[in-house]
Amino acid sequence: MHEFTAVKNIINIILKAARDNNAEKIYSIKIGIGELTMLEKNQIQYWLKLMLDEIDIAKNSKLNLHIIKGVIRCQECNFKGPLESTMELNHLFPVIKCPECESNNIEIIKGDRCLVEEMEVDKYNESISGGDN
Amino acid sequence: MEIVKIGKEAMKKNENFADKNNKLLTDNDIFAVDVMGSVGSGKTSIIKQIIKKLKNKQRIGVIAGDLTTEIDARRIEEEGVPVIQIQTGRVCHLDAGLVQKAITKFNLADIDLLFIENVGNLICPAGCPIGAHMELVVTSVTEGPYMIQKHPPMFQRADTVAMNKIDFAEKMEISIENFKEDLSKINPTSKFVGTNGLTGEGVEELIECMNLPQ
Repeated sequence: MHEFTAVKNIINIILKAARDNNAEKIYSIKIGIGELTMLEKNQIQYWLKLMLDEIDIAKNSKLNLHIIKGVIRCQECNFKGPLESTMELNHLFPVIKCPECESNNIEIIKGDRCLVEEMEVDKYNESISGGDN
Repeated sequence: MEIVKIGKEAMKKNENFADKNNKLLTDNDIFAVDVMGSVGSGKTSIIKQIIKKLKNKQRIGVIAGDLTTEIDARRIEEEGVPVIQIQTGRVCHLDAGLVQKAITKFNLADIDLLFIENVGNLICPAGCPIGAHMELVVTSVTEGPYMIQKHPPMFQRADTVAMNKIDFAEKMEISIENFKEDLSKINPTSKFVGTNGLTGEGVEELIECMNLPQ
């Protein structure tokens, strides 16, 4: 259940962004999940939905979750591009090696992060509710 | 309605903690090994065997992670080294924050080599770096012939894989060569050593493969 930790962090990021931007209603949240993370999209969706529905300003918000493909740079042959899944091993994880020269001396450029990208909100009018004079 | 750009990483805090752990350990000349593997694969036994071989040459400390009990800590203490037990309660893996709290309970000046035994789990710890310098995965032939193929993220991270309980290979009709081949497909640079955590067979080779300070 490591997704729960990620969801807790995502909620904290969303609430901080909402506070910093004077959001009074969140309509949608866009999150990218790297295919090289250990995070399962459906689990994130499930827990995030449950938790967001307990938060007034985020209730019924729409979740747009998408997978960020893994991109690598090979240190041996300089190949830069997406990883390949191998059907030989018959699993859903991409094999972390260069698809060109098969070296695993590679740098991961993309796909090992879970990114809270953006959200659609209504902002309250600061001059009405934020003033303290 | 307007769009608010955020661009923040959900697991960044753990990575920051992991980086801090790594720096704290490195600054104190401590080499740390994250020991991962399934429940019952023999992580504690392998750590004990390594300690037996190295304790006269290196000052060793151990962090033992489990949901509950101090059984592993007591077992390791028999070897006369300091142990901190982390009880995670319901959490299925160690995170860098938990490890940081445990590290600070040691007298760091008295340790050269630190083993951090993760919670028994071949899945979740693969997604949660804790700041160690090396990753050892202990798996065993009694877990069946497909452990490596079925759990690529964990084995992709491993610097070294100890295939434990090799004395059962014949009874289980399991080929060690097949494991080696599976590992070479997903992680060609990872070392592979057959071990027996009860007798200590293979542990010297394991220490050499891991290039542990001796």
